[in-house]
Amino acid sequence: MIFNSNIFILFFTAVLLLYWLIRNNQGYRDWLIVVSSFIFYGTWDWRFLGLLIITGGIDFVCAYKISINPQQTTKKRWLMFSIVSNMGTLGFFKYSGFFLDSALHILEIFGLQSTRPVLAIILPAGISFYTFQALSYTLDVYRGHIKVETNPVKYFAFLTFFPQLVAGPIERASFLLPQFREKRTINESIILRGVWFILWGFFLKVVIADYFAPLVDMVFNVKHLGGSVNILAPLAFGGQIYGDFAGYSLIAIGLANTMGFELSQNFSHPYLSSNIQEFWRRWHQTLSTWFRDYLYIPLGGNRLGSFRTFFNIFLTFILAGLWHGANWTFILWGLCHGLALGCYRLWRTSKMSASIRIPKIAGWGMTMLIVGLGWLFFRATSVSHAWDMIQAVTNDQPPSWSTNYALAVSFGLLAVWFYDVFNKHFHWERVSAWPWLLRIVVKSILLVFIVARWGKEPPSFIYFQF
Amino acid sequence: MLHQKHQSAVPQEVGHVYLVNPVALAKQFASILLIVLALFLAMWIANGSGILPKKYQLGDPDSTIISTKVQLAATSSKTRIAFVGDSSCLVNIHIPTMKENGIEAINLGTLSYLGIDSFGLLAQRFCQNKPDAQIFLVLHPECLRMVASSSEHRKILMEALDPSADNPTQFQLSNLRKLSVDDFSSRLLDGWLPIPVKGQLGYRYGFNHNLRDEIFFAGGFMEETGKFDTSVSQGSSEYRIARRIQNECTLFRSYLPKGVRVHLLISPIPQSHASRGHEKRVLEMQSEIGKWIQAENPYLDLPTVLPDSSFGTVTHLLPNSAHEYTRQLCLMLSR
Repeated sequence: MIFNSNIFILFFTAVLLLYWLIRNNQGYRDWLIVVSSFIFYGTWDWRFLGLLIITGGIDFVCAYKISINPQQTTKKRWLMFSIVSNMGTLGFFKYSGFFLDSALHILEIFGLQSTRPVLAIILPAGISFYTFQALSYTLDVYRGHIKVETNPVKYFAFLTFFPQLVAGPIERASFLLPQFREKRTINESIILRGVWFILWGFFLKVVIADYFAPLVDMVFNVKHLGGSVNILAPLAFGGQIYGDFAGYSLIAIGLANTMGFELSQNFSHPYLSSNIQEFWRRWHQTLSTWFRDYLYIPLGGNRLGSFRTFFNIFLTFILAGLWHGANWTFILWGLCHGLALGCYRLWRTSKMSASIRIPKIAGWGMTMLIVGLGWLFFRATSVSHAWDMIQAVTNDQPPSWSTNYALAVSFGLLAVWFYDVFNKHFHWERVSAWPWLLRIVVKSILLVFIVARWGKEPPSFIYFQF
Repeated sequence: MLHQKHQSAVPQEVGHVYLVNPVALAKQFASILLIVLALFLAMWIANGSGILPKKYQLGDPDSTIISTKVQLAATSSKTRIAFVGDSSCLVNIHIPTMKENGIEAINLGTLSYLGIDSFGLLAQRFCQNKPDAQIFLVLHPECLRMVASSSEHRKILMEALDPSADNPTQFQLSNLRKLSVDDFSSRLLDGWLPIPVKGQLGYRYGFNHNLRDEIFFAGGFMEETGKFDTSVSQGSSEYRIARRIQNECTLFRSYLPKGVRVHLLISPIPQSHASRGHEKRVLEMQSEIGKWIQAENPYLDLPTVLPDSSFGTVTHLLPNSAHEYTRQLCLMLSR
């Protein structure tokens, strides 16, 4: 079930209606959320519901054991058990084929012939998201940031909360779980905010992302197209993935709002960033803060000197790349960002940065160049594919439609820029103070755009594959 | 056990409270819907008012192909030979090869969904002020067994043939999106914002504007971009003529001025789709349809079956094969 499908609209309407009917009982509310989340997840592939319940169950027990054991070593053992079970599941379903293939490839390089076993493992939807959320729960309980949850229904309501189950935002237990322990108040303001986010989310998805989708495919799916299209296509993909993922996140936040819950912001106008550090404070914020808090800082963060800081950033980004998928292209994407951020940090701490002032626009241009290069690796099907596209810029003949391509991509990128500028200046707190009629008119215009583009592309979200 | 412990510690509480004025909230949502409806209505009115640019007919590849063919038919004043027909005509008749062989012709092949009578309308446009024109009707056996043609495609053709008939379709609530916002955005954007052609065709032609230009400059020929997969594509080899064909053929002929010579050409099918008596079947088809459209005799003797490797789809030849097929056609015509 995908947000931009008619079946989801019906499903959510039914859930909201039931939600209103059982408002007087917190237990029923939690049950409703768990059952509807299981239905939502089961529509992807019901077989993986068992996996979700088992891995979630293990974390539930581990966290409980951590909380009741006074000894630090026992606590640590249970934490390790939770980490190994989460990472083991993720590793098996997501990376076993990749690592096996890579190992066999290395053996072949050294002249050792091997027969490749056929490994066809289906990737459970949203596995990277929910394992990270579950892991944050046991880690937070271990660190004493949150009280253990002893009610399994409440715990599973937190873990499987359907608006953010398959593609985030990746919530911290310390932020979301307490909301399930409280009575939620649903007032007019939170509903209207939710609707505002839902409309912008659908706008980003069906108007922006779906506009870019064919433009991206027509270059990335064809070989030997020369010229500027190879430079513009990764930028178009940047627009597509932003519309797709930021749109999904906004819809998730909006849906949760209409049920009285708050979710974390995931994107804050990232394409207006004037340096790569700023970009990472604004792009996929819940993942970057997850890596910051559970990996970068425990590794030593920036407290152990320049070299170690550089190494920590590098490692964090390589793992963040690998989190996206079992492919060298994602590792290269991480490498590209890690290198850029590491260099930026070195530059910032150097004496030169005090004397040389880089204009904001130049900083923005450089940032977008790095981000664009990253998107090339991210979208390419293999490293050689990405390399072919780079070479094709000068080596191959440009297609006859290059000019039209530049026009179409520029138009889309202008829309993305406009969205970011609008979003920066007119965030909800400001919009909520607008006159009633103005808000209604803007919402209506958004709805017209959404209706116009609804169903024009097959419903899908890029981040579901992660 | 854990759950029991919890239940004893925390009593059942209220899950959530609604502090909303349902009437005020309903008013807000109703206002949004009303404004949306008003905007849709305004767009529908604007579409019919004549203040907006005319429809550009490039919204999708089908419209692009049809409107380009109408334009081609209207602007080829010096050409005397035109090929009309379904998509097998569009991709099999290679006009540059005809030129190489000294034959001036245009390819007005479109899509099978249009129906044979619609091909007649295109031919009629071509034949204006050309009493000595020759029309080659090219049909694929797959097209002949299609049960119905598409009114939607015919509407596109009619609008392309007569731009002054650019009136909005009668208001229908079920078709509101298409009549209002689709039409509105198409009028405003299609003229200047390139629309990517989807799928394999898009990988070759890029955008609708490019598709139009390339078809136009290739005399109406369009390249097949697919790859024929015999393992997937398995069809019935029982080729028959659907009932509608006779009526459509009669209409086709009636649209053409008297004196215009008409020829019939049945397109080849892949080897894997041919039954043993296919050639005989094609002769029967030629004879029947030829009678209905009053085609010239003898019928063109071109291959009716070709190897699977020549095809991009069941009905379309790959560019090289189209070139070869057209070369054989030229030889026959010059005899």
